[in-house]
Amino acid sequence: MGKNHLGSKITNWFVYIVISLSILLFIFYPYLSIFVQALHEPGETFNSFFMQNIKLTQNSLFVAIITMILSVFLAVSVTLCFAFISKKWQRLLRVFLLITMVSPPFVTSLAYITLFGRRGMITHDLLQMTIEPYGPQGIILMQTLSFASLNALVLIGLLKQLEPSLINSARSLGARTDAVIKDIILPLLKPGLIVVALISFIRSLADFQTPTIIGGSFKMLASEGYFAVISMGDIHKAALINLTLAIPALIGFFLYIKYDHAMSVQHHGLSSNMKAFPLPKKGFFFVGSVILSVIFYLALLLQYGSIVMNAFSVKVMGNYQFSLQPIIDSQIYLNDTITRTILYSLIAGLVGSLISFLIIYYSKVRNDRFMKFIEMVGTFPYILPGTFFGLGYLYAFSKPPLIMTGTSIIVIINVIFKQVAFATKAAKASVSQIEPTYFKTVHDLGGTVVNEWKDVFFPMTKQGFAITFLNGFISTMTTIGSIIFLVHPGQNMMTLVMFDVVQRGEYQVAAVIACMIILICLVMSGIVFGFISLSGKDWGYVFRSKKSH
Amino acid sequence: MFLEVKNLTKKYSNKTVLHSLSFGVDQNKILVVLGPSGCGKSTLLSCLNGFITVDEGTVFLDGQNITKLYPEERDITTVFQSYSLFPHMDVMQNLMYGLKFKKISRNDARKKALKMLHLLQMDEFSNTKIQDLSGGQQQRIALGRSLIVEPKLLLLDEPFSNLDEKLRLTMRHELRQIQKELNMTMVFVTHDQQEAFSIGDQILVMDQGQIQQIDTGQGLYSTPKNHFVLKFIGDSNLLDNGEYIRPEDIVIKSDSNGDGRIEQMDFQGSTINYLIKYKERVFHVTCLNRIEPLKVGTHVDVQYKVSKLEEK
Repeated sequence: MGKNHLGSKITNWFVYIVISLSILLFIFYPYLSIFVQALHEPGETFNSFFMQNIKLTQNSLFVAIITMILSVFLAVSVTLCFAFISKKWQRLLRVFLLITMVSPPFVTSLAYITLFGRRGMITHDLLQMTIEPYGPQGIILMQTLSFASLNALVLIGLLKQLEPSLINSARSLGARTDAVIKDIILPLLKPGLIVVALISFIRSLADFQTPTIIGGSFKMLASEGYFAVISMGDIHKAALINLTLAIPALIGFFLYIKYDHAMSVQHHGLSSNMKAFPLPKKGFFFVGSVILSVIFYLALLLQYGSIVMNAFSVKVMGNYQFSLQPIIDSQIYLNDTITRTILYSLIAGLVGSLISFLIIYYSKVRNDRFMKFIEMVGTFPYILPGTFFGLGYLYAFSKPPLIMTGTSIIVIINVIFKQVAFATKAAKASVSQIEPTYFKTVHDLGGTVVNEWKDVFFPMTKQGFAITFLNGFISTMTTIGSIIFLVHPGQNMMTLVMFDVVQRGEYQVAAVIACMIILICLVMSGIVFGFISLSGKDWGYVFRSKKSH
Repeated sequence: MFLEVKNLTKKYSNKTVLHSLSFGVDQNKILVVLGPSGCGKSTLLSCLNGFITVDEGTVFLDGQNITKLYPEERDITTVFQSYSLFPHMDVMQNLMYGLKFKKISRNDARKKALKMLHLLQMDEFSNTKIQDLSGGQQQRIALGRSLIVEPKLLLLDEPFSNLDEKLRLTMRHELRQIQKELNMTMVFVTHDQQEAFSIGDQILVMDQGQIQQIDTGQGLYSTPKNHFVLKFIGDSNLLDNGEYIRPEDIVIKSDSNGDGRIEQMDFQGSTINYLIKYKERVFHVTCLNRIEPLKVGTHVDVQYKVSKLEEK
């Protein structure tokens, strides 16, 4: 027991304290201050605000519920379609769905306006119509389309985890395609369905960009909260709106925890080495899911097609011609924004993942109870609307003891700590695949905590770490809600510029920026997956789940 | 033959995993397919229940060509290794599931399921959740769920491999009893020869996608057709020219003038295995544990019976 161990102990405590304090300071404190100050500040009280603006809540709930139903329905169709198609098609369509994950959240609305807007390519140019696309129908349609991809990806992931012999058993007992889907697949996907429904519901409530862009005169909580800060500078009103939004979001979240747990319990899978074979292509579900899926993929194709077309063309006498003019036009808006956005995303991805993995080390490997609490605090930004988080920062760090508003560091800290919610989940999944005896072995052979990190924890989770980093990078590249109130001129991020030009009606510049964001995210994905496939070959034996029996 | 398989061939991208297999099973009999892992026995089973398509050959069941039918169209049910009970249904719902697709009233289905529970000696478990059953109970329900639809043929894919030794013995015994009671035709896949011996009316030994021998357990043991079967089934001391001696065919007796000498003794409980040196060769010997075990170094008198392979 020499010096060596003392150094390790000090490092251990230092890391533990820094992590705990930073989560409390940069996640817990902002939320706390928004609650305390919104409810205690002079001005309109929460009750009177809520009663006077009940219509806003009704509108938000109406859109969120319809969007939730439609996006889950569409996602189920897309998922079921996967049960009928070959591996090759599955891979292709998955890539397609993944592209929607690396797009800025309001790219769908941008496409919608350029296609169906007052001067839209389809409605105006092709069909010579002038229709009014703005209003709740547009919001619901756009949210449904953009949420369905994520929902489908989650459900497809679950479908793949279903024990194939369950489906084979049902078929062996005489169940035809429709019966297999109705009796086995859908009931087993149920926890997943509830989870994606809740995610869609919460996302729809929090989405301020879609209603801002295509809502027209239809007023909703999230967009009003945005306008309150941006056009009126009324932070108090924004806080009240966000508090209102937080209530259904919190209810949704508690349900989410319940079913998310059920989902992970149910899908541990016995994973026999048997493969599920595509179901016979017949029956009601086959026809229905294929038709809806085709419509869905066509809509995606149309959406991305229109974005690319807008980015690379100019309209000359009513005809579209290939041109780099939109790219040239976009330069004045971007300046050093591209480098800054990439840099912030890299930092958020790396630091956010590091913090999250260390939290999970303490909460899961060491089973530390306080760190489990810290982990829970870390998930707040996942539950509550992004603008809520941003507003919290605005409240908390605009006055002593810590004044940071107006600096670029506040934006960086914000994007780092916003990652923690999702990154801890990913870290948990990654860490749960390591045999606990590896950690014991380190101590058994005379190693310290630092050795645990250096020799076991980080080397064995490096694939999970890479994925978590990528996720943090992408979500920072495409984030908008949490930073929109914090960014000052001269510190702009690409999504914010894009949102700004969309509102000014510069759709082609917006399309250029959308393409750039997607491209940067795809390149980074390529790098990360390249790294994983290079480094991953020898690690199969480490993970429990790959153990054959 | 009730089940008749002719020239069954399966290839996976140019690699042939089943080489033109032909065999049959009589009604109300159990055929055990026995072989080392990776020999193609599970693939064979998947060809029978229809989860994979065959490249060549035919499968006839009760006179009907079923080669091209979907699994759900075949009058065959399968008990999978992982039980595959539906986790979102209770015991009764699992048992009754297959009856949904038969023209039978819900009430009759219930009666049948209760009867099946009784046969499985699990009457009190009708409303139990699947997760609350032990491994052995889950296996019974999986068996019952497949039996209740009265298939013409029941397939079992290593159904007892996840159970502990004792339970495995009980389940083998129960399976035989149920089979007799219901007059069921079965194909049972396993890699465990003890299991094959105790269950099978006939045993099909497979290796590398080819049938090595089909015979009764006794037949396989006493007249193995080739080296693979000889080495795979039981132990043997190989001599030259296709001659061999089974370890229990050697009788040793303590004798200070004997030519043999005990080199190693391995106590097994009911039997004792010895390694003896005799005429410059080493032999495995198995004796019943009836007399005091012989110590290493003891000289023994050796008597034995030589057997011969029919073909080399």
